[in-house]
Amino acid sequence: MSSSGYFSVARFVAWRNIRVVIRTPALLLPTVLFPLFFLLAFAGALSSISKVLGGQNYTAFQFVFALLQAAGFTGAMGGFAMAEDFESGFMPRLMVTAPHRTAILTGYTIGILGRGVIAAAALTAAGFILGMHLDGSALEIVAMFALAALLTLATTLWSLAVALHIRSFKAAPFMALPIFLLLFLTPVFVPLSQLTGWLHTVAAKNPFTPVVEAGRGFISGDPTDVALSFGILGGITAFVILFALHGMRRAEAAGGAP
Amino acid sequence: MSSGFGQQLRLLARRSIARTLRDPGTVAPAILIPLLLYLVIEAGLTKATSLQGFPTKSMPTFAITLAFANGALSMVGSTGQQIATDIETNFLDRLVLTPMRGAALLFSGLAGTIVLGVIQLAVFFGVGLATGAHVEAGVLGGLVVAAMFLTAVIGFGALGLFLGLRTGSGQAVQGVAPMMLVFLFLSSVIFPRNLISADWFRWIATVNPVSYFVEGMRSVFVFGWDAEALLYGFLFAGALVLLSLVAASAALRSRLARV
Repeated sequence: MSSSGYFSVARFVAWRNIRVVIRTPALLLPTVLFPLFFLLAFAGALSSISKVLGGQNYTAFQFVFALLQAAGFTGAMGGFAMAEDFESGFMPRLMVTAPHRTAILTGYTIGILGRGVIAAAALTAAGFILGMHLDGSALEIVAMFALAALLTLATTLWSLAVALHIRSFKAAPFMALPIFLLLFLTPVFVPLSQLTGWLHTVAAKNPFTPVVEAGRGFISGDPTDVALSFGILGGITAFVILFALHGMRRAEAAGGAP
Repeated sequence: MSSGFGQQLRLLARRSIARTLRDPGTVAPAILIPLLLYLVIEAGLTKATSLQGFPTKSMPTFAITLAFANGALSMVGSTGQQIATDIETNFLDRLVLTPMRGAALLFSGLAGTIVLGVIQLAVFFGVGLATGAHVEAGVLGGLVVAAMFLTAVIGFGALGLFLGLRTGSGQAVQGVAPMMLVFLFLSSVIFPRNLISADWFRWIATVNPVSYFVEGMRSVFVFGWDAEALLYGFLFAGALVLLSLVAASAALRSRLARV
C-alpha cells in the first residue's frame, strides 16, 4: 500500500470529524460549555481562596483545570463519534474500503485534536475575559498547551480503543467516566500540598495529579513535575495505542459488526 | 372497576414508584453524583474554613447542602424523562381513551419522585453525619431541612413534568436537565456569598433564587434557627411547586388537546 493511500484515508476521516462540528457547532458544546461553566463557577465563587494560596491568580489556577477538563471531554467525544459511525454502518463500510485500517485511527485522532484546538481557543479567550494572568514564559505557556494536547491525544485514543472493542454507543460510559473521575479526583480547588484527608491520599496516587500540577506550574512561571507529567501522559498514550490496535484487530475479526 | 380519582391516583402512583425504583439509571445518578460532588468539594475546600468570616470550621456541615440541592435539581431530568417516555411510547394517548383525569396523571407522576427524594434524604443525611456534618438546630432542624428539601423535590419534579409534557421528547429533557447544574453552581452552594470577592459572581449568586434554597437549608446546619433564611428557602420551594404545577397543568391540557 502506498503512503499516499494511507494519508488520503487519514485526511478524509480527519476532515469528516472536523467538518461535522463546523456544520453542527452544538456538538462542541459539551467540550466547551462544561469546562467553561466550571471555570466561571470555580474562579468566580472561590476567588477568595487565593488568600490561602499565597496570592496566586485563582482564575489562572482554575483555567489549567478547565483546559485539561476540556482536553479530556474532547478525547471522550472521539469515541462517541466512532461508536455512532459503527451504529450507522459507516465504520464497517470504511473498514472494507480503507487499505490500511490504522489510517482510520490516525484520521479520527487528528480530527478530534482539531476539535480540541477550537475548545482550547474558546476557553483561553474566556480565561482572559475573567482576568487570567499568564506569569509563565512563552515556552512555559507552549508547554502547558502541549500538555493539554497530549492529554487530548491519550484520552482520544482511549475512547477510540473502547469504541473499537464494543462498537456500540452503549460503550459511552466506559469511554467518558474513567476520564471524568480521574480528573475530578485531582487537586481541583487547592494544590496537592494543601489537601488533607482521603482526597489527599487519592489525589497523591492519581496519575493525572502531576499533569494538573505541572500545568499550574507552567502558567504561574514555576514549573514542577515537568518530566513526570509528560512521562505519565507518554506512557498512557503508548498503552492506549496498543489497546486501540488490539481493538482494531477485534473489529476487523468481527467485520465491523457490533 | 372504579374509575374514581383516588383509584386512578393510586394505580398510576404505584406504576410511577415501580418504574423509578426498577430503573438503576434513574436512582444511581440521583444519589451518587450529588454524593461524589459533596465528598470532593468537602475534602477539597477544607482549607477555606480558615478564611476570616467563614461561617463554620466544619466543611462537611457547610458543604452537605450541596448534596441536597443537587439531588433536588436532578429530579427535573428523572421525572421529565418518565413523562416524555410515556408520550413517546403512546402510553399517554392510550390513557386519554380512559376516564383518567389530568390531575391524577400529574400528581401520580410525582409519586416516584417523592419516594426517590425520601431515599436521597436518608442517604445524604447518613453520609453527611458519618463524614462529620452536624445539624446545629438539632433533630427538629433536621425535620425542617427534610420538609424544605422534599418541597423542592416536588417543585423540581413538577418542572420536569412541564418540560416532558411540553417537549414530548426524552432527548430534549436530557438536553435541558444538565443546565440545572448551571443554576446550582452559579449560586452560593460552594461558597458563602459574603466571602465571594468577584463582584460579578456575587451579583449572579444574589439574583439566583437557588442561593436562597441552599442558604435556607444551610442555616439549619450551620447557624441553628435563622427565620429570614428559612423564610426565603421555603418561599423559593413553595413558589417553585406552585409555578411548576401551573405550567405542567397547562402543558398537559395543551398536550391532551393535540391527542
